[in-house]
Amino acid sequence: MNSVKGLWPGLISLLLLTLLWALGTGRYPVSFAAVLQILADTLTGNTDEIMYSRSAQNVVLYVRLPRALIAGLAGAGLAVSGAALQGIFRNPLVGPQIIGVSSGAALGGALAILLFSSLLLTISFAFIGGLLAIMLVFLLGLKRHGSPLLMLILAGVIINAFFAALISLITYFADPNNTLQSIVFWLMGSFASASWPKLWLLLPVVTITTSIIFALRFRINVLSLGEENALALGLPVNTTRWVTLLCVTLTVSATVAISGTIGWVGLIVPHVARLLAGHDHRRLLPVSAATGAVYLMAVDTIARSISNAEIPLSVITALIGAPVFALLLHLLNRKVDDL
Amino acid sequence: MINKTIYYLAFMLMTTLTPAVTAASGATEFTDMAQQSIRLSAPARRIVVIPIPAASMLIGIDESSEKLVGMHPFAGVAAREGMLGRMFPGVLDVRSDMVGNSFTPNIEALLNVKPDLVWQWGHRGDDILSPMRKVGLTVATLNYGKESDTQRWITLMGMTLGKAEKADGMLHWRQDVIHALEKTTAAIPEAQQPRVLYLSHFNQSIQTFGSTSHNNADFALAGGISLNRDLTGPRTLNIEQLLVWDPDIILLGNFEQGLKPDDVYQNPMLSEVTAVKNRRVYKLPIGGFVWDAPNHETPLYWQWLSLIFHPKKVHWPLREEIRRRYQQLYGYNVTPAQIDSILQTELNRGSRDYLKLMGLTDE
Repeated sequence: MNSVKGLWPGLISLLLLTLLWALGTGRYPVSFAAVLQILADTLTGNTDEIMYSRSAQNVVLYVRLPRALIAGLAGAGLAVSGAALQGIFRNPLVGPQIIGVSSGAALGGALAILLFSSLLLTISFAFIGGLLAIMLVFLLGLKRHGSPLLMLILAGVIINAFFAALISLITYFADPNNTLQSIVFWLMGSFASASWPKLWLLLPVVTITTSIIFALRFRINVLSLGEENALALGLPVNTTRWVTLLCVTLTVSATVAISGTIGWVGLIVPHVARLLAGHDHRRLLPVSAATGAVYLMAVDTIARSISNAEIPLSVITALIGAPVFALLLHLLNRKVDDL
Repeated sequence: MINKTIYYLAFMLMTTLTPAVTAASGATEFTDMAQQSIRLSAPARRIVVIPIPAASMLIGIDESSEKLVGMHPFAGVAAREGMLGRMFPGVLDVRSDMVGNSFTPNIEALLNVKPDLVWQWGHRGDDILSPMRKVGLTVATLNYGKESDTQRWITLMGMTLGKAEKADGMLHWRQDVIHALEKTTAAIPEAQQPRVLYLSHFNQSIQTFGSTSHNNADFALAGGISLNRDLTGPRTLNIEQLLVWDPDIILLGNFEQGLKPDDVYQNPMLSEVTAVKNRRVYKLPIGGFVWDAPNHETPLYWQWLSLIFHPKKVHWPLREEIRRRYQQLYGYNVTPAQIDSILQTELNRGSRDYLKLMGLTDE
């Protein structure tokens, strides 16, 4: 399948425009002209004849900018993870949530909120939870007989269900007047506490893992044709699969640690990217990254702007994701009918 | 003759003792807040209180923790952290493992403590009530939401504990404070009222309770405008919304452990907020129960709020009032150090005029 003409200039422009929109939109009134002025003054170090308030500067530089960048980075990471998983599992319904990593990270984070009141511990526990989940999936899914692919997905389903039950147990025991709301809100995903230090935590993880996945793009292409073909071509199937899984685990754990659980992005965005760039992972992975970044940045801007209180991200990603997924299915059916 | 005398004495004994037994048995009939008629054949001696703030109310009215045999786990936490555990150490041994956070009781655990009365929320549906009634427990309900509901709690508790007179005294005090504030702070024109934001959490995420809490009514009575009055239920805010609202006063609740005014003062993003510039960020007091929630100490909270909102217009001798009311509410002589602890003096020391308002300094 060919990619859409002028795709990259269009995507990069869209990315920049979305970033600018995110910086100029929010509860506190800051005009787009002021946003541009603040950015220009920050880049040039200008402190003379400032025409905007200190609060406006704080809002743009310390609230919206790190938040938009974190949202973009998380969106890119989740979308690349989803595209890679759908490639190696040869299954368009696989997303980061199906292999249990999101539940593991969510369990770790929820446990930390219940027991401690430390952001650093929440992030650390979420990360450990995600890693624990993939280790358990690995142990359960070790190939003995039958299809290893099926075993992995089934192991993911089991771990998911088990961890989801533990999360329910934690919410059951959480203080309704104290930690319960924090846990519930965190489980539904939000960038409300985004900051520059959090960006510096997320940036290296997502950059390294998505780079490794991108380096594996040829192998993922071959794997997406089927295991037999890959073996016939001499591809180290298991190594490729597990390196990809580890990278996805690290990306998803880091994202959940920073923002809580955000559903649908890893599932839907790769499908949209596939419509734009085709099935070749050399193009699909970067297009997924850019599309995911635009999508989550836009969703987060809506979540923090449309009412006095924050709206959980997963609510919006699901409200948009479900109809988009239905539309994609419809388009796919029509395409099959046309053949 | 001897027989006649014995029969006579026996008759006299019976006629004399029967009313006494009846009085001691103290059969009580009342209507709970779900309009159910409840009959207790004798005064309740083993009571489970599931609604969180009502456990401390029961202990206060009874001036003892002996009759409380079960409570919500977080009523136990509040008892440990506040004054209740210090005034009535027995409350620290009361079981709090028979109900989950959705207020769903574990029936078998409840039966183990053999309660003769269980107080439960009445506005959360029948699912948390009927299982207890089916196993033969006497369940009475309390509703949450309005000041009139809280007053009804006091009446019902007093009635079932045989302390109706004490409950009446508490209600009179409550009404007196309400009337006094209605004439003074509540009557101040809105333009002169401070714009107040209550935050239940701040450090991990910024959270507030909206109109479903008592905030709006409490603040209105004390002459303040509640900025979150249009929100419903617990909500997470972003820092931009705080900047947009630009509150004159920020009140920090007792629901986030370790939260203190310095956390807000030291946040560079909030340096331009009026409450921060004027150092008007205050931590709410915690007495027999947290003052954030409606309870039997709430009139003290209203008076505290009015002092914070209108320091130049209101002059209550709050420390003396706390000492006097703790004697009335709990039969307890609270020490000056304990009053400081209730008023969170250490945490609020750096906030504007706090020590002066709380009667600790003249300047």
